[in-house]
This record gives sequence, structure tokens and C-alpha cells, in this order.
Amino acid sequence: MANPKQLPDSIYSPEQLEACQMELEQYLGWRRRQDTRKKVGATTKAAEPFLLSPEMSDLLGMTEDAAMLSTGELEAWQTRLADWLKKPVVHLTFAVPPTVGIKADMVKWFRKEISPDILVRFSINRNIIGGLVVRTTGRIYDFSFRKQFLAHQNLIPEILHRV
Amino acid sequence: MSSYQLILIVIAALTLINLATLGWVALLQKKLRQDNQAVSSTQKDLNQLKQEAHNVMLAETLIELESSANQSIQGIFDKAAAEFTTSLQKASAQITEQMQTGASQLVQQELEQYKETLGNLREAASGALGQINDALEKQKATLTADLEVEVKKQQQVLIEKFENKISDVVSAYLVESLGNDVDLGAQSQYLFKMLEEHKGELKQEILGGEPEATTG
Repeated sequence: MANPKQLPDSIYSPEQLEACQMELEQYLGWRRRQDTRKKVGATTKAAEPFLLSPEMSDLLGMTEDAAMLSTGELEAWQTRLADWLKKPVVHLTFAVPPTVGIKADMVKWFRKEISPDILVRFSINRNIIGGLVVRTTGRIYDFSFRKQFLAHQNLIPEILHRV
Repeated sequence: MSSYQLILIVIAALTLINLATLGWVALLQKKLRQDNQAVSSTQKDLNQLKQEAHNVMLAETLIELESSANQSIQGIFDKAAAEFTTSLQKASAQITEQMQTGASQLVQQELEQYKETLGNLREAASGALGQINDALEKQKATLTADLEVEVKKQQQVLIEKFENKISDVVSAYLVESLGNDVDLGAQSQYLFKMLEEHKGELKQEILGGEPEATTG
């Protein structure tokens, strides 16, 4: 089981956490129903097995069977997920859709250099041409090519004259 | 002839004289009566005449008197009319003069009051006009200054718009040209370099430090 105090790098965005939260709630409901069936010795046909998503399995640190966890532990995970959702979020905007590798590198860098629980939300804006725009709750760090162009836009008339 | 005789003769003579006198007196008395009657008749006639004369005279007198009265009345009327006319003319002249004098005085007084009021108004208007002119000058100066500032702002805005437009054109050209072929891998060195350069600020901002001016 992974360290429950730290998010895996595969789960980095609030949307993923919310999806995990919803999935965990559904799984917990399923588990409670199963436990009730066992208690009462139900003979009717059991429900289909609940298959956790890879992200959820990765989060819970179980690759095969989540049934090892008790409902109490699952409820503790619910609380943990709710706490993680309160962690700081940084928005990264690229000119083109970032690759999985770039995303992973970015998440690793932010969790290593800034905060181990930070959440990262990726978005795309072609108008920035290239580079990166980092937005936190209160500030915007514009490392985009557009910003660089605008910073040197006084060169455009000179270049036009030269041309 | 004795004395007695003589006396008798004298007495007889005297008696005869007396008798003659008596007769003559009787005659005279008769004549007197006749005369008296005549006189009486004459008197009556005279009275009648007098009466008639009186009547005639009275009528004439009345006519004369009437005429005289008419003349007098006419004279009085004429005189009174003349006096009245004269008095009326005098009164009219006086009234006219008084009216002219009064009107002239009244007009003069009103004119003076009007001049005074007009002078006051002119002074007040002049003062107000001066204030208005001052205010207008100030307003004009302010507006001119504001206008100059606004024109400069507009010029700056237009220049910025133009530059942004040019930048947008260039950016759009780059975006359209590059499409999705921008190699993020090639940029990753630049991206991590920028992140490293601003790591301290990012950490401070994200972990609850004091906000700083926007950079990048």
C-alpha cells in the first residue's frame, strides 16, 4: 500500500480527485451492500463485481483487490480525498496539448520543488503561441512566447522598415 | 242928512253888499260844485288815464325790465361764461402744467430709479459675468488640459492597439503556421529554466506568502 499521505503522480488534477471521490463513494456503497448480504446470508444472485479504475487502484495502492480494505479504511480515504481537494492548485497553460511525458515532468517538478500535495490543472490556449503560462490563486506567471513577442514588439516596425 | 241915516244907508249898503256876496258865493258854490263834479269826473278820467297809463307803463316797464333782465342775464351769462371759460382755461392750463410737471417729475424719478437699478444690475451682471468668465477660463483650461491628456491617452491607446494588432497578426501567423506542431519537448528546457528562475516566487505565492507584482 502506497503512502496515503502523498498523492501519486498519476493523480494530479482536481477533476481526477473528484472522479476518484465519486468512484470511491460508489465503491463504498457497493461494499456496504456486499457486507450486508454476507451478514444476512443472502441467497439471491450477487451483484456484478466492482472494478476500480487504474487511477483509483493506483491511489489506493492496490493493483488487484481493493477488498483488502475495510469500509472504515475506505471512509478514511474519503476524508483524505476531501482534504487533498483543498490543497493548492496551479494552472498550466500550453499552446498545444502537452504530452503525457511533459505532464508527468511538470507534476513531478511542482511536487518536488513547490509542494508534494499540489494539484495541477492543464489547459490549452493556442494564442500564447508557445511556452507556458502559470496561474496560481493570486498571480499569473507568463512565460509564453506571445509575452516575449509583446515585450519586443517595438522591434516589429524596425523589422518592417528593414524589410 | 243925519248920521243915523247915513249909518242906515251904510248899513243898507253893507247889507246889500252882503246879500250880493252871498249870492255870488252861492253862485260860486254852485259853480264850485259843478267844477267839483267836473273835477271829479276829470279826476276819474285822469285816474283811469293814470291807470291806463300805468298799465301801459307797467307793460312797457315789464318789457323793458324783461329786456333789461334778459340783457343783464345774458350779460351775466356771458360774463360768467367768459369768466368760466377763462377760469377753465386757467385751470386747464394749471392742471396741464401740474400734470406735465408731475409727470415730468414722476418720469424723472422713475428714470433715476431705473438708472440706479440698471446701474446696480449692470454692476451685478458685470461681477457675475466676470465670475462666469473666470470660471469659463478655468473650465476651459481644465478642459484643454483634460483634452490634451485624453488625446495623448487615445494616441497611446491607438498606438497600443496598433502594436497589439501587429502583434496579433504576427502571433496569428505564427499560430496558423505552426499549428499543433510546436515541439513542447524542444521547449521543455526553456520551460523548466523559467520555472526554476521563478521557483521562489511560485513557492511563496502557492504556499501562502505575501503576494507580489505579476512577473514573467
